[in-house]
Amino acid sequence: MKMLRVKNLSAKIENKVILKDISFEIDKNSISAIIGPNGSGKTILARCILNDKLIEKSGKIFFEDIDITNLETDKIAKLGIYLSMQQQPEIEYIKTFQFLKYLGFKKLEEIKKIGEELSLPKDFLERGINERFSGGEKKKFELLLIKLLNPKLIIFDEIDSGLDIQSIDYLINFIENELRNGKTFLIISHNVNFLERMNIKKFFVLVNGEIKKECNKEVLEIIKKNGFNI
Amino acid sequence: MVSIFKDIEKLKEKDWFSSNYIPEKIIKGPLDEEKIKEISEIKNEPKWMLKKRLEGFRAFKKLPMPNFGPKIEINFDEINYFSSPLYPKPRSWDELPSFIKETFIKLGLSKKEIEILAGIEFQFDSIPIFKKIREKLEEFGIIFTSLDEAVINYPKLVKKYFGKIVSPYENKFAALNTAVWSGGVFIYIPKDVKLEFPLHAYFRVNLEKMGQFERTLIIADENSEVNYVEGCSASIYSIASLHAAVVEVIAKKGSKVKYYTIQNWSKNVYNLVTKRAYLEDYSKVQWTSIELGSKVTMLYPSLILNNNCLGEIYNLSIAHNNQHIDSGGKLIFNGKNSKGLIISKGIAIGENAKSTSRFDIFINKNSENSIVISKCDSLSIDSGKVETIPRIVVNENKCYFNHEGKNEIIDNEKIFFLTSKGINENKAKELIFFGFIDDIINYLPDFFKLELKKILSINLEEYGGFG
Repeated sequence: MKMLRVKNLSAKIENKVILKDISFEIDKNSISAIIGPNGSGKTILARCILNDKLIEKSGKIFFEDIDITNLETDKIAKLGIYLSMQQQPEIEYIKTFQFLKYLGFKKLEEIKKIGEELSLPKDFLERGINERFSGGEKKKFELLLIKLLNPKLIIFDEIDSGLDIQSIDYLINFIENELRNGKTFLIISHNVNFLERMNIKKFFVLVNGEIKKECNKEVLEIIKKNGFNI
Repeated sequence: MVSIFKDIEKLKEKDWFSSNYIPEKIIKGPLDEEKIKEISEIKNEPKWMLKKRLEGFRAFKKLPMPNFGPKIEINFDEINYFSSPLYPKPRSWDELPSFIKETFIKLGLSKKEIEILAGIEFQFDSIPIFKKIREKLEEFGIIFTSLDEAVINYPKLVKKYFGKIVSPYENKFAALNTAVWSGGVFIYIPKDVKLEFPLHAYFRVNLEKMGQFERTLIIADENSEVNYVEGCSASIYSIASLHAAVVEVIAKKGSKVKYYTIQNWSKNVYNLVTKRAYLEDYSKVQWTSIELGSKVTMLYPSLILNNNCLGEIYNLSIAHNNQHIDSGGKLIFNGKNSKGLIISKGIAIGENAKSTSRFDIFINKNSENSIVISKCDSLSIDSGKVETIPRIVVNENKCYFNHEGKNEIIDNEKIFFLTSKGINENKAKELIFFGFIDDIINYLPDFFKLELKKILSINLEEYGGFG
């Protein structure tokens, strides 16, 4: 059984074609990466998996053999897929502790400790979600949510952007640990140096809404030299 | 999702009420002095009241329509200015339109209460709780009656204060109300009397309190205290398209008045209300309004403050679908050492919904040490339009004022963030919504919070989300 199967996925936003007939598979307990230039459709692809309703799509998406193509976003999340969005919105009017409580996490003292470990602002639980967080803090809060929600498949859309070197180290350590715990990752990034540091099994090169190539780690060397003209 | 809106649509087609409601007496426009005399005669009013009505009519003819705010399309010639009884009385539970029944059931009201609210059962002197309340009020010397009765029974008090706080020249609709008013409440609290429970219009359902041109007059004598609750969380269907009410409050030296309103008219109504309180030295007045219903609402509760007063205005407006709610508040400082506070929350849900917050603050010359804090937040859901228009006119140097405003938009990004963490879309909107109104809810007394919570979940369901 594959963790995720995408079959003949095409996607449009406001009648603009973004993705064209994409198919790929992701193995359980592995790291895969989607790479490609700006505007190639990487983020839209990630959001298709979670069924963002602003995207008009055709094709099929299966998670552990369950057809999730048209499932509501929250139900997909509950099956065990976590998407860390490219940019996290600030939601001032939902206090973080309320949000976590609503998600079922009531042991606030323990959560506070995780927050300290991630060096989130001391008062983060009393703030709105992501309220007055720096770019890096927003990403760290994503890691906190992953620790709590314990999903099976984690999709990182540019999780590395906005993180300092120390935090990148923490993140790589985090990914390796979670991989040992049986988790599966799909990582979207531009950052070749970041991708090089992990044991990534499959690379999908996305250009102009199409998967140009499925390849292994060697592709990173080629990209370093020639960019995405592969 | 839930059929309440659909039912209103159906109602328009079938004209449910007009086929059932046969008033005994109707006075229809075009309005003239003869018709106003007729209203006054029917009500057996003294000459001085007729004089005030005619003055109101003259002002009505002179004054222009408001030159700001929502579009108002009213054909004054086609309005029923007086009808008796004011509201149709369905003869049985089955005759109630289903949207009213649904609302009642959701509010968790008992059948008895439903019958009272629906105007079916009018024998409520026999209900022990109401009888008790009446006895208690009499013991304190409190007058709590319809203004119509008060004109006859307490002419001195009414004559002294009627139209003194809201002049007929205030605006076109206040003028119209002065000319044709009918129904409404009169309250007098004697010196030093402090009423510990809130007076609720429910206690006097038999007052024609939901009149189209109702008029309320409250006089709190020196050092007295009273809380008054107006309105009803159940949606009220009205056959009239215009409601132009006037509320006047006189807070005498050292008194405290709190006035709470929940407005939930059906979505066919122009709700154009003038509310004003006059604060003598050392008095405190608080206006709290929750505006949910109507097609168009224009309401700016105002406070005239003398020396050492405290005036507070709390406003929560929720416009959805095709509603435009234009509200806010006015503070006028005419004395020293007074404090004023306005907190307003405007919410618009849906593309054609609009919520406007309008503040007018005047710190007049010689009103030294005035303090004003005004805060206005708006929330847009599903492309609802929100706007805030604050105006602060300061003619006294020795004072402090500030204004704070925030706009929040619930867009797809926020909803997607929350749903992608496993929260249902409706719940996500609800969490933001309740978070947004949280601080204003904290200012409300418990009985009001409860009422509001009930009605909000109903309204949100109606809107099709927030289940």
